[in-house]
Amino acid sequence: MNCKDYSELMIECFAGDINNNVLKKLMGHLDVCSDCRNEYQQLEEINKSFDLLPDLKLGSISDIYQNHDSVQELTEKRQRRGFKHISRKILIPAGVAASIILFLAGFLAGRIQKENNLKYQEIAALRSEVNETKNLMILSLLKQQSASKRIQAASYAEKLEDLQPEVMDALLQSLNTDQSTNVRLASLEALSKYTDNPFIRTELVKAFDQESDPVIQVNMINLMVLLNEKSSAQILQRLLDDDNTELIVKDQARKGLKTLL
Amino acid sequence: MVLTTAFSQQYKTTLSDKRDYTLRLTDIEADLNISKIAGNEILIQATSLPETPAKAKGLRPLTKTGVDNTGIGINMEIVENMISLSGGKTGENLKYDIKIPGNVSIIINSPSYDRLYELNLSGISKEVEIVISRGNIIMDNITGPVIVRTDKGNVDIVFSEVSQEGPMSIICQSGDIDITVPEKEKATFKLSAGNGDIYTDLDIKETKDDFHSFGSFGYSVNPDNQKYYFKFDKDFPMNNLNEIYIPEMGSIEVDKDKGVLKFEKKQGSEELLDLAKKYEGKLDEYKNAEKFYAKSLAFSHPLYFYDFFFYDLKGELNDGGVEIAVKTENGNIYLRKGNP
Repeated sequence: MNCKDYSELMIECFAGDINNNVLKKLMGHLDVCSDCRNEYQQLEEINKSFDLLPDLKLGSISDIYQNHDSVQELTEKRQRRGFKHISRKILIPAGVAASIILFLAGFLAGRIQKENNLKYQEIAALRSEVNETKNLMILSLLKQQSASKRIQAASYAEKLEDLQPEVMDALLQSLNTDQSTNVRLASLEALSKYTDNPFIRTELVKAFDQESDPVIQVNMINLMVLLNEKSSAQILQRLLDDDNTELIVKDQARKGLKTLL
Repeated sequence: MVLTTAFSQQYKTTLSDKRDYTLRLTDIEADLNISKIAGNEILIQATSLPETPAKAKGLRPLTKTGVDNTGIGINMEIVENMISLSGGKTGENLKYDIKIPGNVSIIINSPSYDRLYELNLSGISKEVEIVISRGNIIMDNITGPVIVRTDKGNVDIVFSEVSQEGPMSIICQSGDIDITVPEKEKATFKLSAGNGDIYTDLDIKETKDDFHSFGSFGYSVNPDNQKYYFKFDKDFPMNNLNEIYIPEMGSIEVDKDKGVLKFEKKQGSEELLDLAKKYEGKLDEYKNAEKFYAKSLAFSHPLYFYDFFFYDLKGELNDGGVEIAVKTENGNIYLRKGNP
């Protein structure tokens, strides 16, 4: 196994999909390879940040900025208060001192600003990294032997903000070819959240045309009607005319056609 | 190291206890009894195995899917951690009792059953995946994850605890689903019973998750009482999709901030004709009522309650846990408290 294999193992490991032997192997490798160890630690951090994700909304970022404003205000207030009680005698040295203070304050404020910017960038970078990792994780989970794990992949995808094209393809492939109806239904659920994407919409109509499992057919009919997908009308008609169509599918197709046309 | 011994009606294989296995049963047309035993042996006992005809004496039996290498009508192959059993023999009362160690998960894939078979699984603490066309499935003392798909037949599952390892999914095309769960377990249920009802004595709290709560609102579809409000807690779940089709009336394009953008009426819609009758002679009021009606329908549209599209109800047991999707297209769902 090379480092690339171990890298894939790590993702499986964080998906909780690794047995003890392989885990031992991975840990053994981490002991000797510092590059992989670094990667593992990074993944671990990202994994931890999954739980924090909802808190990283814009709200908390603007909170940071608000705190920053109040620091600036505070510095200004202190400076203003300071001048009131100073006698003329020490005005000049005070002036010098004040300019130093101002300089320092400005310097500090600048640093805070910079730190905040950094923080913002870090958060943005972390978020995109998390998103990226989640996409990778979905791809890895979809390949698992366990049907439960593959459903897990679909339910991750359902909650993503941004679906990468590879993940889209993988989900469509899962919908079309997975051995388990249960997994395919979960993939359909996930994909239906992204039906504002014309590509997915077209692919879903194609999938509907190929579909033969009655359970999936019924749910697809419902989806087509909800989306007002008129191009599916002829598929519905075909299902209605076909003697081999299951009764529950025919019923649904009949209702669907009535509302679509 | 795999040791194999064959008896006339019984078959035994020893597994390594250092790894996890998957037992895959394909096209075995018989009743099945699968349970867990201590140790690391797989034991298969056949009952009512059809007798070999006298003419076959001295010949090697072949199953539909391969050589009968177990002596009990089953072809068995072990590759890596996959133990594959496939069958050939069929018989009126043919039944296999399979006992497996604790480190074995199960996949049963027999989509072409022709009679209503009985599948009994007991004490399994690993993942179980079952795909059959016809058959009643009874699982007892199970932890999951459980993935089930049947065309015809009832599913009865008694959980001893609910594994949080991964999502579960139980789908019947036609049949009742009866699930018993200890009341202290954590789970999130997604339930749907087409042409049927859902019954429970568990304390399941209906949830409105992300896709629901972005618009916690009240609405009224009564155009006479034009009081409605909606409040969006979260962003619109689908960035660009704002055209919604309302079957009874046409389609409406809405924006969460700007309200109704475009309203395309369906010609001859009964709802709109009723409305027109009600507001006869009062054109302005009619137009208002019409828009109001469309808007309130739009915001009560299933797309806004997205999960309700695939499932009738989503609810949490003890603040939620692993997701369990239960769906029958034709039948009832029973969710019961387990005996403590």
